[in-house]
Amino acid sequence: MKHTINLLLLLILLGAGCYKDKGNYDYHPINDIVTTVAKDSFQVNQFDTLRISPAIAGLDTNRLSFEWRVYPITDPGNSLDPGKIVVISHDRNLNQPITLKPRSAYYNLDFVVKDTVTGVNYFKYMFVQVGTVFQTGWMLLEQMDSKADISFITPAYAPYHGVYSASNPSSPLPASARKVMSISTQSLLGTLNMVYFDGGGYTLDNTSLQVIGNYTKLFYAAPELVQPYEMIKPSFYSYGPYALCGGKVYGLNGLFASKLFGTAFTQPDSQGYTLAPFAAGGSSFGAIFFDQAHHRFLYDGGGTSTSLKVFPQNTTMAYNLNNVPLQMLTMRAGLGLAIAPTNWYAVFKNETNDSCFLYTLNANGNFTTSPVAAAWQPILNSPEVQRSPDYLFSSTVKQMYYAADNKLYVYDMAANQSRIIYQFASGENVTALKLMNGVITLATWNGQSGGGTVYYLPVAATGDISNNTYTQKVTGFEKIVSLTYKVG
Amino acid sequence: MKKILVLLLFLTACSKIDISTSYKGQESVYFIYNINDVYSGGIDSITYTFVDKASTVTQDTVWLPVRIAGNTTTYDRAIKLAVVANQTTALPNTQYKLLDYNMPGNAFATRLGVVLLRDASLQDTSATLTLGLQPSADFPVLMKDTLMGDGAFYNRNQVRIIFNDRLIKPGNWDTYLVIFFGTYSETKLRFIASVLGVSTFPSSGPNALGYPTLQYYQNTVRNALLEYNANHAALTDENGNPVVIP
Repeated sequence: MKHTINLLLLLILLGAGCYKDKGNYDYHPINDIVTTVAKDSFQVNQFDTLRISPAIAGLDTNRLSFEWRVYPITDPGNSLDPGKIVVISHDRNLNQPITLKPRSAYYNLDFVVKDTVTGVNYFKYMFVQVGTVFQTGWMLLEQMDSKADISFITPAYAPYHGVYSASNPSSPLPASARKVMSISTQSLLGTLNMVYFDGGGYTLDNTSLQVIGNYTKLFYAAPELVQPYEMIKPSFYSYGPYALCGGKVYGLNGLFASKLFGTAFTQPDSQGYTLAPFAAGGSSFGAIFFDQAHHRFLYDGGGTSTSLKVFPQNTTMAYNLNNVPLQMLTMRAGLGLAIAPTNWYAVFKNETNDSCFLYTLNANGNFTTSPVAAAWQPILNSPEVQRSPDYLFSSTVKQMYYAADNKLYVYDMAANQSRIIYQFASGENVTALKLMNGVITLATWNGQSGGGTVYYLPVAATGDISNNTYTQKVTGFEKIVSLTYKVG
Repeated sequence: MKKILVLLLFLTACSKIDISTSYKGQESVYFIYNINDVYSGGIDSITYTFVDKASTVTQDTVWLPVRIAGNTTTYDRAIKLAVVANQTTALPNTQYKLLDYNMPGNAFATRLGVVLLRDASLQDTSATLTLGLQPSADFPVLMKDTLMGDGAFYNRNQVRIIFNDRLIKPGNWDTYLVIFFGTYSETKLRFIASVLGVSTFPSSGPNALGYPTLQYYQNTVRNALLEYNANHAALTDENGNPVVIP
């Protein structure tokens, strides 16, 4: 019986082996896709458009879908981030402005072609290097109705509009933005690019203007009142730079490799202090500030001091450093060597009327032979001098430039009078101005959207505008309220 | 016979065993030790100082995390915590106070608060408070020894709190800190600690503080001292000298 069962099982197995296979074993060519590009590595500047048109071959190229993938895209706030893959286009041909962060290393760029019938992906591997034109040039802070933005002009006078908003779509700049600046801190912080607004500020990446961090991250502890206005290293001899924020001054001890600003400088006496957002400095006094609340100049104690000091009473100098009952409009370096100018000029306005005064400080001086309080004079014959958006001083002659409405003036200190040296069209008013390397870079606005213009006005030895005209003009901006030259 | 045995083995493999979905053991509660405390007096110990607290702080609460073995209940269950007298120097109601303790309903863990009182005696000596969990109606079983991260066995029923308000003059004061804080006094160090929240300022080793950090500390304390003096009688140290930060 047992053998019969085994034999039966064997027969069943043998019978199954005789079953005819009705499968389809015809061979068909597959839709093999081949993509070809002229080269496999590309260089492009950030915000420029990258165009690649690959040739695609295959049996059926009408059933394809496309992806242009770039990687690794890393989080700038996380140094350990391995990065992610980002699809920048689904088009057959790439025609895309590149917003990737500039860097020396190449990004991987994959062109992925998918056969939508078989689901098979075909890859073309390429590389793209993203450069920047924002290393060097003018940063322009533009104010609009509900926001602000930063645009850029390269040394070749090529404008790039809306750079900040393109780099930071998730961090819009508030309309209260008031200052854009770039400062070489001469410390481990290197160059800081910043934008200040009401109640805060951002530090910006040097190549892309992407937000790196909040202003308060520059400090050991956030300032008591976060209202940034200025950061300045007024003297080679001071240990700054100094951050002027909320009426207080904070120092960064670059000499001892600090990367953070400390606590507010200690008040010089029981009166306390509220500083105007300016500073002067030289070989004798590393940093001089003006206490607007008590109408007196103060100075950094020098060395590694973190205390402000009151100037000793002295009646032999041109004016009393402890009693200047006026409102400071500016304090800037003027005549003298750039490393330690002998003349710093402070423009003050009478607090009850529009009369203005020019005070000269010599931060390289002393209290006797080269007095710190060097000179003062009322500013006469200078229309609307109190309304200028900024004040510029020559390092070679005793002249000051200022603007009001559509007119640019030069103030001759010796003659104590001003004259118009350039006049723009009626309604095209000056909104910001800077003097650098003998050229006044000046922004105007005519009140219309896109009505902002930047002019380059070279200054002649006489103080006038060379040939009475500008050398370059770049148009199409919004209202520029601050500009600064950025050096990578 | 062999065939029968093999058949029996197969049959036993087919028997169904009900696996309980709930805990059947006895309930207990135990301390959760912090492995980091091994560096500050033992894994079952917590150290605390009032030194770096503002002078207005008269008491503080140390929280002892505990967890249960067993199931949660829908109601609160009492946890019995008692002082281990022969391992305690702290004085009840003078240097510490115990509270009533419960494991909340539906919770696996909670924290037991022990109130430490800033008694003047703590400025001279450290106090030790050893607390032990006791069997109770809700938690009848105490945990057995457990091998912990420091290589020793602990029963996790006991915890020790070592606390003081005592200042120790940093060893690098006269050689380094004097630059930033001036002449040492206990009053000054106490004020510094209350402002900064730290009372040691190492100048070497892995946690050494750099010059800018100490300068930041100096400036912060100087500003705080000015503010204090503006609102109080000028701060004077134990030697009768005004406290000054250079």
